[in-house]
Amino acid sequence: MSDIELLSALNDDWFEEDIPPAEAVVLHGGCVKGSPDVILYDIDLRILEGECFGIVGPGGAGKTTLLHVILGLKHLSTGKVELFSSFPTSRLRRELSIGYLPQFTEIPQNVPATLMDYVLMGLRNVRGPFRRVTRMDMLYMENLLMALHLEHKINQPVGYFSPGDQHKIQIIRALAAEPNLLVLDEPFQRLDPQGRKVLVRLLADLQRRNNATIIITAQDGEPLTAICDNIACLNHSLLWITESDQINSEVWADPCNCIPIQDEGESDEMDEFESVSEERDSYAPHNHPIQFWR
Amino acid sequence: MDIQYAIDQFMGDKNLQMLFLSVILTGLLCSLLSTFVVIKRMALAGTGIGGAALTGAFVGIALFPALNITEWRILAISGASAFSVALIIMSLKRFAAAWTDALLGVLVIGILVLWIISVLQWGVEIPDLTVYLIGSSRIMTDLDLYILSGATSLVFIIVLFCFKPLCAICIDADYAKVLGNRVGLLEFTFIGLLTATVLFSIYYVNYLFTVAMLIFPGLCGRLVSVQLRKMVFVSIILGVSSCVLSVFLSKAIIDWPSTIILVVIQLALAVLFFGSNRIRALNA
Repeated sequence: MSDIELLSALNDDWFEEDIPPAEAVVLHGGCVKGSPDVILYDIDLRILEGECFGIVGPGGAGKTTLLHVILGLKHLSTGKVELFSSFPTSRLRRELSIGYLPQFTEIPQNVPATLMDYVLMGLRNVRGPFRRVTRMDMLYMENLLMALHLEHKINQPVGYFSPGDQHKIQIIRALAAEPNLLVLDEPFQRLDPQGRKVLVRLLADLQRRNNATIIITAQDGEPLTAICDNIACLNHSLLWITESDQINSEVWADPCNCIPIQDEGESDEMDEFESVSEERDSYAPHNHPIQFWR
Repeated sequence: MDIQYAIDQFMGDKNLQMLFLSVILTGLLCSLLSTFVVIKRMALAGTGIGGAALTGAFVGIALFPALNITEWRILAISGASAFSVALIIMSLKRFAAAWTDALLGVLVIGILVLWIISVLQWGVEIPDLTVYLIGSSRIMTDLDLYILSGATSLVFIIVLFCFKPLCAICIDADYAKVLGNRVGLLEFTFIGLLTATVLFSIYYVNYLFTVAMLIFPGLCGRLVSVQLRKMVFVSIILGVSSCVLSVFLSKAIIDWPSTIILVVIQLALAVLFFGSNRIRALNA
């Protein structure tokens, strides 16, 4: 190895070690007031670029609202949100490549689109008004369709598919642009075990190739452990955040009433979190009795 | 009547040629937006906006009795009236409640009654009503034709530039918003284009033509295809060809107003496409 190559390799190592990943999402003191209840209360959240972040919580806990806040579709009553260091506006959403899977609602029968038109919609913000879909995009799309066994139905009207297939179609649309930020609202809910495996594989693939930031919500957190780096439990306020490998299957029985605690001395951040959470829970809107779980 | 004679007569009559071109251009304008009107369930909107434009025109005549209905001040009042009603309709459409369609119907009926009252009160004579309904209020000049061509080109360019976002909000408005499309601005642009189209179409042709051309071509396109692009294409082809056919039939074969023939042709096409659509659905 020549001196220049050695220097270059050292420099690469130096850069890799010293530049931390950028923050994809930052939420500070985020509150959303609904009528009459508080939907989100004092949310502090930091998601790094390239991270896969899971949010678990019961139905009506504010998971979808939190995703809407992150995407800039809903405004905070108080607090601050940043998406890739900017306030999330429609302009930012146009500039970023974002994939989004909304919480499942059936696609109406009168929607004027075939399966292909519908999934191609996911490419609209990256392709602009006059640019055509490239051969590479089509190949990737075909791969996604094949993975979820929908490749032979591309010309059928999207409103006439079964709810399970419609859910898969919406997942394909979210993945279509190979986004940098992928936001999935309860993606595992309507998938069979095989479909879940395929989705986990597709997400891992996207994260590896694109360094994509992925945010996933679920009512049942177990499938999230296979893909997420960190998982948080939300029930109007954040009850806990931890690394996914710190959680065992017992916690999923009642995630809102158990707090997984890391071993002592392992994380200062976690200690800090616990002390903050005790103070915050004293005036939280839904103050559940919390068991500490180890 | 001999068809060759009719063609010769057409070739020699400049007024007839102007009328023909104006009908084609307004037909093109209306049928371009027709698909979006049908998909966005705004069929009543064209009727309401048209009624409001005419009501505005007659209110304008009441305010400025010395002016002709084609003067710009009257047109401005008419346009303002049409655009205000368009905005009310757009606001109403945002509510997904069951009463919104009923309220829209009440609004449109109210506007039509206001129009008739305004004609009776401030119109020169009763036949005015039928002229605006199925006739043509003006003789086309070269300038009119230039204005109409310019307006048609402008609307075409705007629709072409906004086509993908417009399709996106027709397919899934919430997802379009996530992608960064300004849904509110697009809706506003669409309603603006629709109001301008209705105004041009009423002033250069008539009310019934405008309402029919905003509904029938889009409906036929919807019955023929499930893809928005194809729907728009079918809508334009059917809209323009039925305009040409109706003017030709009216001048050469049947001595009826061309608008009435147009509505009959488009009604027949809609019934035909609806029938074939049902048969296809049953076979599937």
